Amino acid sequence: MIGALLASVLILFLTVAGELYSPLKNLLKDLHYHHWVGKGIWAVILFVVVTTSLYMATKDQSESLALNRLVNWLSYTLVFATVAMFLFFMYEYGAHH
Amino acid sequence: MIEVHLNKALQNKEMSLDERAILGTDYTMVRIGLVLGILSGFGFLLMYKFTGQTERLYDPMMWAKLTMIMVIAVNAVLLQARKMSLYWGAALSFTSWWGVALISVLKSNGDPINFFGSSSFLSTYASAISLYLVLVVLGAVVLDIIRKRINS
Amino acid sequence: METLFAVTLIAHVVLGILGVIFCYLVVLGLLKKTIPVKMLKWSSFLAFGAYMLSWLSGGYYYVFYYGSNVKPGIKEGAYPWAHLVFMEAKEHIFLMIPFATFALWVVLFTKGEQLDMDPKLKTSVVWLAAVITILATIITLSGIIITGAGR
Repeated sequence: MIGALLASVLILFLTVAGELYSPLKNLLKDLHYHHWVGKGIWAVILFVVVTTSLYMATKDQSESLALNRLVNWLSYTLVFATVAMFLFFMYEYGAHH
Repeated sequence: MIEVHLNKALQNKEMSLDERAILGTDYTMVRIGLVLGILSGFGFLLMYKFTGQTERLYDPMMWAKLTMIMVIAVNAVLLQARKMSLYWGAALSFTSWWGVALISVLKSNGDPINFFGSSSFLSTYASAISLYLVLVVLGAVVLDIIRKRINS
Repeated sequence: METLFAVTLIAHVVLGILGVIFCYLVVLGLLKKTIPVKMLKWSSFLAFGAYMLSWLSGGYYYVFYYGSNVKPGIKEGAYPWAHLVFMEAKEHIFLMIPFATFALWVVLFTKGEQLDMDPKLKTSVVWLAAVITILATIITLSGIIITGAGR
């Protein structure tokens, strides 16, 4: 859950930062052939690392009490990131066209 | 058929296992129909893309059809969650299915729906949705008549 | 358009829609009086699989065909916002969907049998499945807008 949440946050960060700071976008393109491919790869890496680490750290503990809160936070993050990205690109379009 | 089966089942305020099974089959068939309709509909959109008719993807009547299909899907969820009354849920479902068919006929005949005097996207879309909302109310009345006949 | 790109585009669309349908079935299943746990585990797994394959096929089409063959026409045409707003948003929002769907599958796989007895968790999972379904639907509709702008 946390892995998915952090991956979503990373995607939002890389998207907005990449548009506002072109060296970051160019770096992703240089490393991974296309900036979008790079964002996907780093999101996967973060997701795998976070999920594996947390699983190893908490596998013997009960997490059911916190789970519904984590699920809710994932939902909120998805909605926030979606709205933020649409608003950002609408703003960019309005500002440059 | 769902409407007829549902009202016959609820006549004695209790639903037997057989009645539940029949309605279960009815709902499954409708859901299969919805899935097939959506997949084949997107098949048409892909065909427009590959045959250079992409302007058809901006057809307001097509977007009105998409809206009705989304109403069918959302309505089913609200009915399942008991957040929608059977009266309006049945009317929305009944009218949406027929509405989608009606729009397809009007599109293929080239008959525009235009109540607002303009041929813009918004005007045509709003006209189609306005007609749809009127039909939902009419659909509710028709279903109510069917219910009363079954219950009497 | 080469056959390979046509096939990847068709696969991307069909698999994406199947992902939406499977997620939608998860929502419906979670709202039943008695949760069909096995169906939910399968539906969420198939949704994840469909989104992953849609990601790969769509990504191939996007990187190797769309950028040089479709994007310039849209940006110079009558509807540049179709790419500059909808495509830009869609390509990044879509990246979140497989992770979220994987998380949904894991929750259903590990806690599915307990959901009937844990209404708070059940409500949270319903909302997560619904959010994923809605986002995937928005992405699908955005795809229609983008394709329609390519004349």
